Amino acid sequence: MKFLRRNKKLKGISGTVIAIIVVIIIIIAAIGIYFAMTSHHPSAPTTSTTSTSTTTTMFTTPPNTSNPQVLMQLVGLSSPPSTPVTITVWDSYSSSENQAFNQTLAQFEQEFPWIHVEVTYGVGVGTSQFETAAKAHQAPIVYRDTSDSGGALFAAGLVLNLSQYLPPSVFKLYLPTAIQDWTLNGSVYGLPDNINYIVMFYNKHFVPYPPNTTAQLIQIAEEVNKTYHIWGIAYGASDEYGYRFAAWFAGFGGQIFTTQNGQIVPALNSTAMVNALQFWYNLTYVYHINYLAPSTGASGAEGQLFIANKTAIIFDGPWDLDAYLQALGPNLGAAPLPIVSQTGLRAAPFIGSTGWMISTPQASGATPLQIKAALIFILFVTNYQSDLRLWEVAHDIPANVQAYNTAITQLKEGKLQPAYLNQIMEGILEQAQYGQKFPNIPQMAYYWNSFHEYASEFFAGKINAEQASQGMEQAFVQALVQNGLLSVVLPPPPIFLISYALSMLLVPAVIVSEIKIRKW
Amino acid sequence: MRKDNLINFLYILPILAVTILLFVLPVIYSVYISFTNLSLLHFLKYSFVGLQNYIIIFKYGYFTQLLENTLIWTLGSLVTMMGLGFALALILNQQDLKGKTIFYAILILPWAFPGFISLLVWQGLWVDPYGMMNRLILPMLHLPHVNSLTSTTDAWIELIVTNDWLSFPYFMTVFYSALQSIPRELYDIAELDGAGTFTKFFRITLPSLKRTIAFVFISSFVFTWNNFYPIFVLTGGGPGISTETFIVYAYQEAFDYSNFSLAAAWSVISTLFTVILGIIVIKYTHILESFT
Repeated sequence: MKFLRRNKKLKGISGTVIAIIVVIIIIIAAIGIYFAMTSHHPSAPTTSTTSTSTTTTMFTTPPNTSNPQVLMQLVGLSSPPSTPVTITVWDSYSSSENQAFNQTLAQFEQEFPWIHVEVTYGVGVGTSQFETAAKAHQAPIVYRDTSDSGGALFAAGLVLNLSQYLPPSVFKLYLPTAIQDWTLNGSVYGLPDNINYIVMFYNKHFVPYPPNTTAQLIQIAEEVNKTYHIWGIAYGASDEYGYRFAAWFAGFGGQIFTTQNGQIVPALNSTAMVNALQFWYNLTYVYHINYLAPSTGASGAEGQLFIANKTAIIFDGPWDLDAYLQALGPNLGAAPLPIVSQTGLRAAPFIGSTGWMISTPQASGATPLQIKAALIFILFVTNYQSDLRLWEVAHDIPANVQAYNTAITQLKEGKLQPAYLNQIMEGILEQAQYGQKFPNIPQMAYYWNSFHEYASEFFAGKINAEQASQGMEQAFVQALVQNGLLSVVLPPPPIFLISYALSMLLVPAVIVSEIKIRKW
Repeated sequence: MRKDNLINFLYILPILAVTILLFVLPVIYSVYISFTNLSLLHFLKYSFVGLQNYIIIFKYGYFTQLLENTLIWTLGSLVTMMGLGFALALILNQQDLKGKTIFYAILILPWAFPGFISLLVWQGLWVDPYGMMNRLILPMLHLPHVNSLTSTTDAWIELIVTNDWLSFPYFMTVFYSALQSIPRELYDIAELDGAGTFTKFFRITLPSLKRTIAFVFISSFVFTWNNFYPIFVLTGGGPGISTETFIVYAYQEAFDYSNFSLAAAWSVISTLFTVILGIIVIKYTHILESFT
């Protein structure tokens, strides 16, 4: 009897639960289909148009942004407001950069006592944290990030169009390369404080002269391998997301995007990609001169091997210079990436830029006065003195034209200390001649994972270079389609319709069986 | 009677409120946004798109591959973790074992470290050929090197072994407690009847632990299915998407691609699987009976 009761109870529970789940699925499916039939197709991406011009004074020549009065005029203020204003700032500087920034901040608060700055230090670059805060309308009023992340945020309508707030003469204060990085569809959405890219760092103890071609690179790496029994190169091609690989892709003649019928489309499926992938595969698995490092940067396996004298050459940016300087001292060398012997083209890294943006009021809830204070702040932290300070303390390459020229003069006169730093910085600055513009269009956000997925499969030996090239292009296209950045119609898959139809047929059966169970 | 009901309701009100706020509302919100186009380009103004995200998943997503990966991850981890925990619990439960407390204290050490820190340490241990696993331990055991960058099998080994290390103290502790609750007399009587070790194990130990095993299996199944950090930290889902699970992929859709609606759709599908599998397991193990 007990057994019977238990079975009855269990059957009752399972039947009820199954019926509930099926009914929920049906309701969800019905709602979905209803909205699928009534909803609009995803609209084409638009850029932010949120703004009200605050510029009252015309500046035909670049204004002096080190002068507090000029800054006030630029944002349409004749005198400080009677009540103090607080602005929130997310700072993504490294510790050495923060030394310079804190000095700039102290000076700013002295010059503008009516603006209180609340800084959050150590925010990682990338859009995700900002988006989360923006969703809750609690984004910082001022935010520092890379130009490509900024481009995505601008396309999302989360950062201001500065072209509508500042006169064009302001943008002439910055290197054209840098300001182009911060321009999308003719609108400037951020003010740069540096330009950045990767270079070739080498250990002079193992590498007598920097290789100028890939043939020389292989020769030197083989020699290092044979003589010192260390890695010639440490490049984690499998671990990366295509930031550094883009340089080699360009060296083999490739480009990430092309235009077809007025649409921006990916161009990864090319001979250039196949050859670039195969080149690094050969260096890793055929010549055994490249260590496929699992992590990048000074704190990753690549940097740690370089610091420990266990690899002769790495490809990294000036942001990690301090770590290498401390470890290698006068043995550290820097030079542009070599010419690809196969094509005669130089490997061309992205010339990117980091800088400051202002959130839209929808994202941060900022008042008009806070926006004005934020404008003053970003003009101040990217002015001549602030940018030069970043160069002198943290060796950031200035984006401010005047600061950049001063840096070049310092280098020519050999004024940097220690003296060997001059040669290193010359090598780093030389690379700027051979770079490529960092695409800051929103489509770029979908490049990284597409590249990573198939490059890592290729280096794991799961697919060949041709399949990798095709796969990453296909994944890239799919990501763009899914996000409404490529117009391709998506037909419903048969399996989905079949499962929907089946569930519709099953519901009455389940309900009937449920009634029967209850009766029993 | 009615007043009693009201008072009873007040007792459960706090847990009800917490459940609604922290579980029900986020689930409803996730289901809701899975029918919209909320993404980076439709961040402030998004609209209903019906089943479009689900269509994308079945048409263009890696549904089959992710399901396969999630099952490998969940069952691979669960079987080995439970096996290891059970075996250690049996050893600790030996009456004549000396220094039991010391062994137990050593064995629960993995619990003493924050999981995320342990994962970062393990990440370093697996670096081939410089990490301790590949330089010392595996050669000592005459086993080949493990490199998650060059082999999918190696990536799974790396993930499951690390997860086992992180989780076995939990299983060991639960099983050890359950073993101690089995009356000693049962074994004494069985011995008098001439029962051997295997007979005692299969006739007394295992049946007595049936409900504990079922409970541990269900709760750990759902936990491991949704366990995000080991994969995210150790392999990032690679090589390619060979070790991506539903939850890791959903995270990447949301925070790498900023495609929140698609990420929500993946999460809904993942949740449906755990609910359905949970019901199946509950039905066949009769676990709910032990609580009623």
